Amino acid sequence: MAISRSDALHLLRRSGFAATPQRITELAASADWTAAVDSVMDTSAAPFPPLPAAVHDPNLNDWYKWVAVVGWWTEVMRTSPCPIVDKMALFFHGYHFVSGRAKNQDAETAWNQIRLFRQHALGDYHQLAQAVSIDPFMLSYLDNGVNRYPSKVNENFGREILEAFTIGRGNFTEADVVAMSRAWTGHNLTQDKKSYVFDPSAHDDGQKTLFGITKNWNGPDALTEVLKGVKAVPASRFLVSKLWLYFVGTNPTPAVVDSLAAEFRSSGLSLRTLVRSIFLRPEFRSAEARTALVRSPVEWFVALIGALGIKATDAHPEWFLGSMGQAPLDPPNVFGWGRNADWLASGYWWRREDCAAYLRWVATDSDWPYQRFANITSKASPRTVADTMFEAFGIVDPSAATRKTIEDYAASVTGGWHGWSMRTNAIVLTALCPEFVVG
Amino acid sequence: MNMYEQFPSHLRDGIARLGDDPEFEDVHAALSTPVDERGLTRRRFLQAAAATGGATALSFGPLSKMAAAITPLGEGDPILIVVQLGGGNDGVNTVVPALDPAYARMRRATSVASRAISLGEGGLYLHPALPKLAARYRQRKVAIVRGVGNVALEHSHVDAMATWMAGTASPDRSTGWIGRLLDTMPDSNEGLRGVALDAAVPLHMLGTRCEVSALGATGPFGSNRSRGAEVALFDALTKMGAGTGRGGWSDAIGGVNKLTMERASDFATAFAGGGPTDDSLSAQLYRAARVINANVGVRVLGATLASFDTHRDQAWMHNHLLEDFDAAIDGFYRTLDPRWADQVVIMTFSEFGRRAADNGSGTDHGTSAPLFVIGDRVRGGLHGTQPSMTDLDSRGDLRVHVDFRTVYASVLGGWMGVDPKPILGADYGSIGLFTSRPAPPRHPYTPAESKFSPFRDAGAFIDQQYDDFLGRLPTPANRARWITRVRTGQTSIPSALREFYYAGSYARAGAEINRIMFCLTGGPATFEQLQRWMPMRESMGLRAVVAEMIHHPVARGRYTRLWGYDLVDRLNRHMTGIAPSKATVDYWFPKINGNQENGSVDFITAVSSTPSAKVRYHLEAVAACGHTAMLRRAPASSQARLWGSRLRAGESTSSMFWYFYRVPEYRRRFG
Repeated sequence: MAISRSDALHLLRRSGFAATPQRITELAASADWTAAVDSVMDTSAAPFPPLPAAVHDPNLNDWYKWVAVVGWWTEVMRTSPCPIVDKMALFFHGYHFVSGRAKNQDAETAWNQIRLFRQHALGDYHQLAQAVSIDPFMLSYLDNGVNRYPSKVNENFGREILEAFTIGRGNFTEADVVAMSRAWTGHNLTQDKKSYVFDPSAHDDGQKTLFGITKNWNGPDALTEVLKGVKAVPASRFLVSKLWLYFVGTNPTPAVVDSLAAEFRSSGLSLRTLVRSIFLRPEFRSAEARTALVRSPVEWFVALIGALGIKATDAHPEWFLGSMGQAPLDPPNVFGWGRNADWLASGYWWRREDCAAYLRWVATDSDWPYQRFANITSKASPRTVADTMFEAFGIVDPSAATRKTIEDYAASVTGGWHGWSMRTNAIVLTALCPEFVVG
Repeated sequence: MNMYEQFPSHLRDGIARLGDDPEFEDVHAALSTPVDERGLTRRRFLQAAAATGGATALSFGPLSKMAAAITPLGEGDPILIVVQLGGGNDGVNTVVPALDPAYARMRRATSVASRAISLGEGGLYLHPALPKLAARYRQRKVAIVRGVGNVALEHSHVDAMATWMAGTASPDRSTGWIGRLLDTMPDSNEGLRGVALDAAVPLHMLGTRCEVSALGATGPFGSNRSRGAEVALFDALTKMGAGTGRGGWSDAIGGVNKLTMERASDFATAFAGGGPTDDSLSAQLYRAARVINANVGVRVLGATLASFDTHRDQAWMHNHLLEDFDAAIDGFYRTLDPRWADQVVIMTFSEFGRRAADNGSGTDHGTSAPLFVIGDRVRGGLHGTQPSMTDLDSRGDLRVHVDFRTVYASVLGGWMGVDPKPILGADYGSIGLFTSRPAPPRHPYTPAESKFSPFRDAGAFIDQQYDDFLGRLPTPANRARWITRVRTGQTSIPSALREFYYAGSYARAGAEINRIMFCLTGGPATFEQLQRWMPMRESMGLRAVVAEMIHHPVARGRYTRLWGYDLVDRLNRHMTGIAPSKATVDYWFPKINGNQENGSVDFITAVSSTPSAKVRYHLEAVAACGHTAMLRRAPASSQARLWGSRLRAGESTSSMFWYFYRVPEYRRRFG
């Protein structure tokens, strides 16, 4: 008993980035859906190739280091046998425990946080939350690095950890923000902003009332209380809802959220358990879910270079990702990136078109080593053109309309003056077809 | 809550990161919403990517506004170009009180008095790098508003620039005065009403409702319709995603593909054929003029010239910048279609002027400065009050006599025809900067039809091109499609002519026949010969044509007295420009000796498809074909050769066709 190719494709796209024809075939051969889910959840082979030397080069400015990190990460996303790791890291980085370059532009510091997300991708949520709270990139971004008792209590982190990271609006009071901020005083940064340091002299050791409980709260205890104590239910529901939107894309019913949240809590906040359960829910495989998400610029870019087999560094993600709306290491604010409609502004879309138009040359031109789609000659039949593209781009079930658009285009140029351009231009058309962008 | 709360959320962090005296580029970047970041380096760091909901100016509801088509402007619509002179322009050396003894005393290192150009009034002079602007001033087409500044006296680039850009009485910095102006226009969300000519949308152009975008140096993807292969892609992309039946987001993808392609093709004529792509003001205003000529409904255009922060070595740098400014204004009016000239106003602004006294090398941040308002309908001359070089404030700065928002109010009310008060948040009065507003349309505007002269309309033009180049009339559907393309400016007349040429038999058979004719006879085929030979080439093959060609008197004279090796050698040289290889001679010698005429025809036919033959006289042949198709007679050999060399030197074929289109002989064909 195998699963269908479109089921395999759906699971690959949601649990990862690129879906190559080989991987679709491989996954479709799984015994059943559960086996397929366990296959994409298997992180035993998760790689961690060394960062490019540029990141550590003191002579390079931040721009080049940023380019190096972004190139590295997108290449890992493209090639990793366990893309779920980076899919989760992207979630935590850009949609959940958000930090950006705003106040700390050191690429290594930024990268260390991504590494943290990768390390705990499917691990213990509580451990991850504790670790990211004292991560230097986070300490910079939300100013806890300078949250010092008594004269410089900074409430930025104390507020956002409640509102943006753990329980959301409506589940805490302004007094809780004050108590939380006091609890995190003294959890600071070293002068060079590269390391965490606890400074007891800057920590408020007084009694604080958090969620109605008065005691000498320290930051980590307070966070444990949120995730595992009195706020455990809203905290689990908060994460479940966000992950559901990220992986499924539809609005979850309260019953689904409650059931997943209860299971998550009883697993001891195991991210692996939660993500696996989401993939196993029938709603995940519903027709509605399959068309509920527009691939974000990062997801789309990685899928595109995956389909074309182009190395990330040859594709220059640094030229395109930011202007398509999603610059890695630089989310817009503490609530992270938007979704779906937010990617469709015409200014952003022009840049997706530019990106595809650039990559068509990298994929086919003799200046690069790829030379894809040599079977599309200037006289290729329209059907060959469409089939070749659908195969390469992992589109297992193209709509009649999309096939017609590509075939009509091919018919209009094949064998003619512009026949040579079919091979390059079909790439652009396919990269921007709904079957590739949505899902 | 922090001090940057008043800025758009996606800009706050970038602004917060600026140091004490940041470079203009950094400040401008922090106050801009990124659109095109290719090739940017440091700027990237100062921009937080546009946020969810933060990038209102770039966003549109994906399912609601898809169908919005552009509405071209009419004769009564004013157009405004806002030129930012970034970094703080030295007003004292722009409009120079050259005769003031205080000027000579305070400007020892930076004086331009000796070469400055007299305005003929007020004892004032223009910087020596502004001769063309001075000439325009003498035509009363330049208003100089003196002593303009920000009464809050902000000396930091970021505070001052944000204040100027926001243009409001309130501390709010989330939108700009131009953005709010566009928001008030009833059609502000129907197409792009504001465009930045460089890579990012600056704060002053951000509104909450209007669509504003940055065009970049080469135009958005889809706007360059000069290459046929790309046009085929753009047209296919326009349809990509419609009707998949795969849900709302799939339809939205179809919508945005179509929208971006249509928007881009609106701009096609503005970017066709390229142009300068550097970041000079001249390049930006050249594009501005072409965008206006394209008439795609853009009301406000933003341009930026940076580097006015001349703390050091001012003499050289300021001169360099103002030279660009002078050339940019002049070039703009040379590029602009004259029928738009009295609908356009150009105004400048800079975040502050500079200190009255120089610092021995350059000048430090100051306060008030003059600004320019340029246009055919401005009240030319001096406005405002000239700040005294001796009555200075405690820091040694010039007095501010005109609040910058008074200038905005005057432009909004006097030129754009809107009530300035809701846009600026208070009543700032007005100075009369304009003699009149653009005249309301007296008769319905007829788009572009006049361009089709000598044809009565676009349809007649299209019919004639079908007849001349393709030898048939168009199907109704093709006719309608072409008419739309040329009427809306998606295809210019020259590029339409070029497309017709390449679509027909002239490009396929005619050019081949003509290049062989050039090889054999030194000139092109006549109109009648082409009429006979092109269909013959297509139905019977090249050999049949060559068999007739060699009876041309010149060919007969050249070849009939030659035999054997000599004939092979001569034919090969004429056809390819080089001597035959030994293998060629060995192969052809016996055939030609066996039958001189048939052997020659076979040889010519065969050798004509070799690479060296294909490039020989190819461009002369193209020129001759175009000439023959359009003027119904072959050009003289010398004329075809002249065009060949022009094409070889880089002139486009479309401009050659455009030339043929405009010669009186072409018009005479149609009475």
